[in-house]
Amino acid sequence: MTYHDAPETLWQAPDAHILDDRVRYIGDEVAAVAAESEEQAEDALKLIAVEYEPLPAVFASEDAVREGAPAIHKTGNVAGRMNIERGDVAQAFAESDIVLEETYSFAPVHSSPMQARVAVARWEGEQLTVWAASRAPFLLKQLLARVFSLPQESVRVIVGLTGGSYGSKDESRLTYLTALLARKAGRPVRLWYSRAEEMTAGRNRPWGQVRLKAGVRRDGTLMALDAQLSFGTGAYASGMHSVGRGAGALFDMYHCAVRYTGEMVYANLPPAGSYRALGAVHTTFAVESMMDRLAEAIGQDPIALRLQNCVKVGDLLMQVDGRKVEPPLPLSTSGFAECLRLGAEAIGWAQHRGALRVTRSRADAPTYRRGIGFAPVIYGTGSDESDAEIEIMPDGAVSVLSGVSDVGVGTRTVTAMIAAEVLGLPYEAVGVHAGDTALPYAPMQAGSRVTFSLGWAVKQAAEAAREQLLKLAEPLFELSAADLTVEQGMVKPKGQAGGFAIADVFKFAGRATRIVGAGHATNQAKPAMQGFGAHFAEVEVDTETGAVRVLRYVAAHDVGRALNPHGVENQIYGLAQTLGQALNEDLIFDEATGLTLNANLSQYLMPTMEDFPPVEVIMVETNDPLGPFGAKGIGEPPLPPVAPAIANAIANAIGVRFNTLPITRDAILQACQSSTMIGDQPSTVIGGQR
Amino acid sequence: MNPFDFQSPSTVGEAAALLTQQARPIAGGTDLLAEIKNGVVAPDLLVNLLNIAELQGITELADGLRIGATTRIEDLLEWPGLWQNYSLLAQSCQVLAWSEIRAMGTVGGNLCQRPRCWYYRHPLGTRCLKRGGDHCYPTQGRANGPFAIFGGGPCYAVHPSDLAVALAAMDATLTIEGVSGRRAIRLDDFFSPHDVARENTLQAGELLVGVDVPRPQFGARAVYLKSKQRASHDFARASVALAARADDNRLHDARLVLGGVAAMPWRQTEVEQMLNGQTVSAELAAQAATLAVRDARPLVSTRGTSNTAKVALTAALVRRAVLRMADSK
Repeated sequence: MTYHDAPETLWQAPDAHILDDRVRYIGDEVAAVAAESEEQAEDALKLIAVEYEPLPAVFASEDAVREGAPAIHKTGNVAGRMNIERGDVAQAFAESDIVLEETYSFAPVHSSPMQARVAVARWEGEQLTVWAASRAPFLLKQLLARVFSLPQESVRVIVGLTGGSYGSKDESRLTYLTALLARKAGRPVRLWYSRAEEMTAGRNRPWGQVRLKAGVRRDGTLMALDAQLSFGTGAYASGMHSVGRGAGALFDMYHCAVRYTGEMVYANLPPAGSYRALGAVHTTFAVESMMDRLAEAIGQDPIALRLQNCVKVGDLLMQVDGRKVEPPLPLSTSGFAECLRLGAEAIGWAQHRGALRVTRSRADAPTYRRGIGFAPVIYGTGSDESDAEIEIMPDGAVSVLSGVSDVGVGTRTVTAMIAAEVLGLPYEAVGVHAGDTALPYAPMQAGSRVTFSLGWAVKQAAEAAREQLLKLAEPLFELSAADLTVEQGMVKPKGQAGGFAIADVFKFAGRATRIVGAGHATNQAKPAMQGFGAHFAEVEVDTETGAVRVLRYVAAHDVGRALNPHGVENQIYGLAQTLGQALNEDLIFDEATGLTLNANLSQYLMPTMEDFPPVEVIMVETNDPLGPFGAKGIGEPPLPPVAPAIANAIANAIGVRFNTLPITRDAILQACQSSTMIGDQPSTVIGGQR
Repeated sequence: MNPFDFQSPSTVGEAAALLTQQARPIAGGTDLLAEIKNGVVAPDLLVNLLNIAELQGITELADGLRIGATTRIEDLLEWPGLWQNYSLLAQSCQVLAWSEIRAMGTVGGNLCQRPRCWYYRHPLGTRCLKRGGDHCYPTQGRANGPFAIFGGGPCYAVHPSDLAVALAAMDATLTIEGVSGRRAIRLDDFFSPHDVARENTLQAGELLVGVDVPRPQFGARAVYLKSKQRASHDFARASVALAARADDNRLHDARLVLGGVAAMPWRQTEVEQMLNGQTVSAELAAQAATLAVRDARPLVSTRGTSNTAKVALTAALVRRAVLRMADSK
């Protein structure tokens, strides 16, 4: 099939058709083939002769925004802009004692989940069923219905257990192509990306620059932050989420005047999209590298500077993630100070930070230097509406019913735990039916929101089911429901031992039909809930080879309440992803040819176990009244503070500040070649231009 | 992937006869299969070498070791006495890839592997010189990769092998057999850095039979240092093999070979001569490092990227290797 066979409808507004008569980057889908076997399909692809008319191309964002640059889309080469201002920025800079300005740069990086994108589609008449590795079954259903001009009820999306998403599932043509092929073939079709395709036609984190100007007074008062973001989005833009999430680190963490302008720029390169923590990774790197500079400039301890300026409980939040909050809401809880205190204690901040670099180098090899650094994070728990149902069968079987997909983050586990807690059942007694749009609506696995939104809905549903169950038990005990309870799966009068199993309650009541408790979470009041954290790193730099080793790492997070501590811990270990972005990962787009040079796991160097330091996880529980059982979102907060914590530690070790990610061994080596490294002289800047 | 035939001869002679232009020998397949899948090469016939007894195993000779070409790297690494008597070999094998690859990959395959240049290997195909084209892309694109600082041009791809660097420092000899007979060749002469189409002098209808490694003499010291982009497995940013004999703390018969810096293991005879007869000291190490990169020419692309850092890195590795001569065995 070619663009002749595809519907005109955009699958992704405003810029992406299922197939198009224009190829916008090397890796853009041109035609699709279904066959009896993979080999046959590959052979068939080779037989397609494409007639191309070469058009001028741009392989760098800077070139794309130049006057007269070839237009990648009819709408121009800027995919979107965002401008937000709080306070009088010009006045705040005028009142600052010290004003610093830096440019921070970022290479494209890819999350490369274990499972690449894959979908199976089957048509039965005008009924379409799609099995997909997806983080967003309900959105996918909606988009499929729109693209194929079907009523929503004619589309069903089923998502089995999915091998990792990191925000990056969906956002590609794959599922639509699968459905298109299946309709044409009149048979089910399975389509999947190879690793190379996943890393080219999948979605990566936007690359580009953050120009940041900051002003501070000598007494440590942070006066103003002025940030200009220019993110590359490649040939297609999956939305402004990245730029929006980038606003969080600028507006939410500190009291000061803020000006923020962000843009997404097209180029003839693989498209950027969502990747865990989005643009917060970029702005947190910029702001928290800058905060260390400011602290150095005024001679203040970096931790103290953050504490002095950070948002406090009760402060009114006016913008969250680039969205205006109407009316402004008071911050519900903050474990930030506690994260700083415990983290600093665990890494030994007081003992090590002030010590001379050379004394921390290895005695036997003076070319090694050690340093300690830290960086904080603030990250709003996402919000969405959510339905959920709890079903109690007459035989006593209890299940959570939710359409939510589980991309490996333990959503099934935590929803079962919430239901079990409310219903007075052992965790093992609660089943979960999930991953199907035939089940109740649930939010997509994005924005650190699922445990929060779905969690509330499940809690409510379980409470409703429990109420019905106790009502049903009234005749059995000749007591009112208010005097009854469920403990360890037994229904019984409060304060008494024994009781009856749920099946007995149904039996005595003569009820053959199930109980269904429904819950619904609204989309209100959540912006006031923020996840806080502080990461501390000790690094050792081999100044002769540029090799940097993270010796110890402490990740302290205000998680509200850890409903499933093991799951929370694993989310936090996911900081490995930005450890890779900090030191190694660089998806290379060749400026000469537009080729992605290292779309494979041999040349795109992700960290492995050997690169991963021992990580001490500290969970601070603030029991946020806005969260289900006090929980906050923890999906994304572990990512943004990693790169600045490591960069600040490297600066502490060798006296050189790096403004470009990744901080490669070559970059460190070249920096160490210059004499500025030695001693405690002021910092040098390396990088910043990409 | 193009379809191909697969044959498993049981003698070297049969294999040589099958190895015509469009055929490739295969043993572990860790390199070749990836190249076939990416469409870099499209042989009509794969000649399986794993059924040929003569190519297998490790034999101890009176004056050294004979390693069959299809000996797995992991088997070599686990051969008793390797660390004791051939420590340079052991050191290089230990940092070579990771255990699964070592368990598949063979000694012969490692020496004959193709470069890791990201333009040469690109699955979408390029007009790279090594693929018969007319371009050397890193000169206009990304030069901060596996590219030469010695003897580069017109192709700048470096030889990726760790093992070859160590074997060159040990003065190994290769046995090659072909339809026109058997020949022995020193490892130094095996590579063909000026031939952009291939990396060695194996002719069509020839195959590598084995490697002879002389037993290091009494008092031998050796060190292999490899720098990578990350802690876990990767090809070398740069590596250094240094072997010498120490009498009265003075170095003799030094052999210094650099890896990841040229189209072949790059021997530095001038540095070797400088080291011979000297006592190891910080000054000597620094002099050796300076001399080792004196003629280095980093590749600078027209777009501003370069592999300049490799020069300082190589010098640092040489310096450390010389210092280690004071205590290594």
